[in-house]
Amino acid sequence: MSGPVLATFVIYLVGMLGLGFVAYRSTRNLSDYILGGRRLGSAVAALSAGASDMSGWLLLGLPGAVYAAGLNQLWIAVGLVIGAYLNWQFIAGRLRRDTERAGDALTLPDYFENRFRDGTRLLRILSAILILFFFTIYTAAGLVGGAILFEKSFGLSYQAALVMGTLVIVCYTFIGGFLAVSWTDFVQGLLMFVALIVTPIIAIQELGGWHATVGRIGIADPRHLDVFANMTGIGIVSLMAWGLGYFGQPHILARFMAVRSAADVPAARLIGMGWMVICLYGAIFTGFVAIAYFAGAPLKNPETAFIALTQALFNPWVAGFLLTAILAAIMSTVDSQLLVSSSALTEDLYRAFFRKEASERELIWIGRASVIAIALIAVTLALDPESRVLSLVAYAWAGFGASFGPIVIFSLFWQRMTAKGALAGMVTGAVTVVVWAPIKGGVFEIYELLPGFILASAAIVIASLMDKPPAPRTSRNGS
Amino acid sequence: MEGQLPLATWVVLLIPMPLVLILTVVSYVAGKGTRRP
Repeated sequence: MSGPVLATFVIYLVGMLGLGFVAYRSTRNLSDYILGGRRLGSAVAALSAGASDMSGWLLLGLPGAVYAAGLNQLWIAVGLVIGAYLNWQFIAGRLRRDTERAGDALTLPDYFENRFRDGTRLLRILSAILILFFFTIYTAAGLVGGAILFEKSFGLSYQAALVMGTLVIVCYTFIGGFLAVSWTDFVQGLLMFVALIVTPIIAIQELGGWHATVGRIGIADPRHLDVFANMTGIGIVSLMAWGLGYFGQPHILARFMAVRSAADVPAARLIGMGWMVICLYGAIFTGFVAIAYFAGAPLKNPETAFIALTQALFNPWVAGFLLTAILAAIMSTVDSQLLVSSSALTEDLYRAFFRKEASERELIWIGRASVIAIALIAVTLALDPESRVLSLVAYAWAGFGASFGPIVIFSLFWQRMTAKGALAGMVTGAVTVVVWAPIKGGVFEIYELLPGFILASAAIVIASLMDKPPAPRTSRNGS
Repeated sequence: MEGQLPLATWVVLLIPMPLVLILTVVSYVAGKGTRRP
């Protein structure tokens, strides 16, 4: 790794730790630690939701897929944008309001239990276990992806990259909790935004403009220009179905719950969607331009398209700055998932079942200890770069989308829904995803999230209608 | 088609995502008009 690149990485990492210390001073109770005391402004909530959502996939996976297969990869971006918009438009404000009404719920499992007055507590236990299970894998996968990349691109040893990256993330998450995670996400989101605007624009300019770039790609492989090349109807539907996952992602929904008030949501939505659309265009054009730029000497690993372009186009100081965006993308997702897992352990298992009378100070320290415990498990899983965690990420996105998404939507819009309906939906969604995914051929080629989402919704409606209607809703604190 | 994007690609590239952005701006502006001070 060159000196300037290393120096910009170190400056960036120290900056993130600094933000963690500032957040530490504003963290006084468990609500502060796991939900920032519900006082995020529009801009921070928007970019934090976006940066938590977009992992290394935005700078590595998507440009890599476009570089390897061409513009037929546009479909996933379209599906994600539509899903994210619907989430901001119809879920964000209502979830902010209803989680506060439901006994000031700090976590999704807490909200499910309070909203449905679930005396069996099964909803809380099952959802907390799903969160812990999927996010530990998800976190490990993020760490594996990042460490492999730094090993291959910058010659750092896999173990060193893994340990250093995890240490920094754990440090600021440990001390500063949700505020540290959100503020660092904000800065990380800005970095990703700048990198994804600058890189493709400069590259297109270098290649002699848009027409020259498209011309070169047409000569290299004209199929890369066609949005329908090598695509079937099932393929397009599957790529677009990724957008359905948004309604059930706990680390993104936590940003909605933490925004200062429902009145801040429209501005957050505008900032969040603007950021997302521009970043996705930037990532698509980065991969697209890389096809032309490296036409003479194709890249061995398509996922390095962004890295190779920045190193070829910019002086090492600017390249170093732009490459921190990759660190930012990985860290902003891992930290949010780590904190949501910690909150499930602290609020939904420790406080709910073992220490109802625990003091705020005790709970914050349990939260911090949980961050370390989950990070240790994730690092242990990630120590083996050949482990299969990476292949489980699509399960995790689909698993959350299908088992939590329909419950979140119905809970906000359908008063007749019951706890049994929610439980039926959660189990049906999770089981469908797990059973559907390994089966190949015909209709089973559809991404498991779509059938999981549809069947979970049907299960919610059927089980709720078979159940006794719930009593009229009031909040747990009687207001 | 060598050297230029097919019409279908232009349509998928330039319509859905900007349309969502326009919807976001419209709902923001409309909401601002009806919100109480």
